[in-house]
Amino acid sequence: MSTHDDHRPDDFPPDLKAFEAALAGLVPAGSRIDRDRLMYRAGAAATTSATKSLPTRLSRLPAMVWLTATAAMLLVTLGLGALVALRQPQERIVYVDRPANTAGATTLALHLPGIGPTLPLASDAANAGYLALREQVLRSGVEALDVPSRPGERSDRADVRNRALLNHFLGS
Amino acid sequence: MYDSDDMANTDNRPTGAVGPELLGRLLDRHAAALGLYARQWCRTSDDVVQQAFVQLARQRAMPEQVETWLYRVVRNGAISAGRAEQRRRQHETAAAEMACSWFVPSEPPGLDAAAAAAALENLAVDEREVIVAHLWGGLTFQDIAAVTGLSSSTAHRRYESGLRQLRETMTRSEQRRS
Repeated sequence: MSTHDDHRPDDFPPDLKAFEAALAGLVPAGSRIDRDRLMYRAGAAATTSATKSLPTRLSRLPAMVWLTATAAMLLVTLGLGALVALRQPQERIVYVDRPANTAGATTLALHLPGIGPTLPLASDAANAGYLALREQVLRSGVEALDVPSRPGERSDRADVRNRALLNHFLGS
Repeated sequence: MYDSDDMANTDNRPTGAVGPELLGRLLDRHAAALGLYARQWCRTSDDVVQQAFVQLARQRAMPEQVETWLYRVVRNGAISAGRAEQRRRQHETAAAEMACSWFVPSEPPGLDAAAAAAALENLAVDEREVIVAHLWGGLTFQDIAAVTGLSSSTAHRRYESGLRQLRETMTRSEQRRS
């Protein structure tokens, strides 16, 4: 049963060669392998191996890469969640630019009783005059608009002035 | 030894590199010798040989030297199985050991198969595996060197010393019987 072997020297004594030949004449005990079961298992193993080896770009990445990426994303998520949960509510001051009203400063003659002479007013000052007028009307009624606000002033002139002021605030 | 028709799969299913026909031929030719080779280390030689063939079927590429590959896989598997058996035997209180016949009983004037098996069992494992692989496995000393990791000259030296030892042992046992 031994095959041709180039490395075998020729100095084997003849009796050893005879013993070798006799030994080679012995037949190994038959295998008790279930041939059908083996072929079935071999086929199943080959199919499983071929299925696992189907090339996919992602499957070539080592498993450690996926594990590391998953762990990293988990840490980032937990960190952000803790940040949100532990954040203190803060008051913020927001500055809003309001456009200035420069469309024709309104000059009004306003005489506040007991205060002083009439002064030309811009629209912001007119608001203050409005509040004073309102105060006067609430205290003394609408009829107070006909009362001359300065001593010696003619009532019709005071009336005109007060009504102009009233109309201004009423937007007419 | 195996031509391209043997290597090719005969059907279109996704399988390993070894087709079923080649697997069957290898099984018929080498199963008995592989079983004898594995029996040096373990008693479950059939399981070891079967596992080796299943592993061959799983290969995506055909091994260059199929026979050498099989012997190497069987050797590794048999050594592992032998160690596991030794561990199990340490824990077992009493067990009837299965008779493990190495050879088919021979008729005179051939050598006594049982005596040869007994002599082989008593031989050093280094020499025994070279003798079994060369005489009954049909491996060359180069192949044996590839399987065992030795040089081919060392393999040959062990083969010769093993044969001498075997002859001496069997001669003594024959003299005792007679």
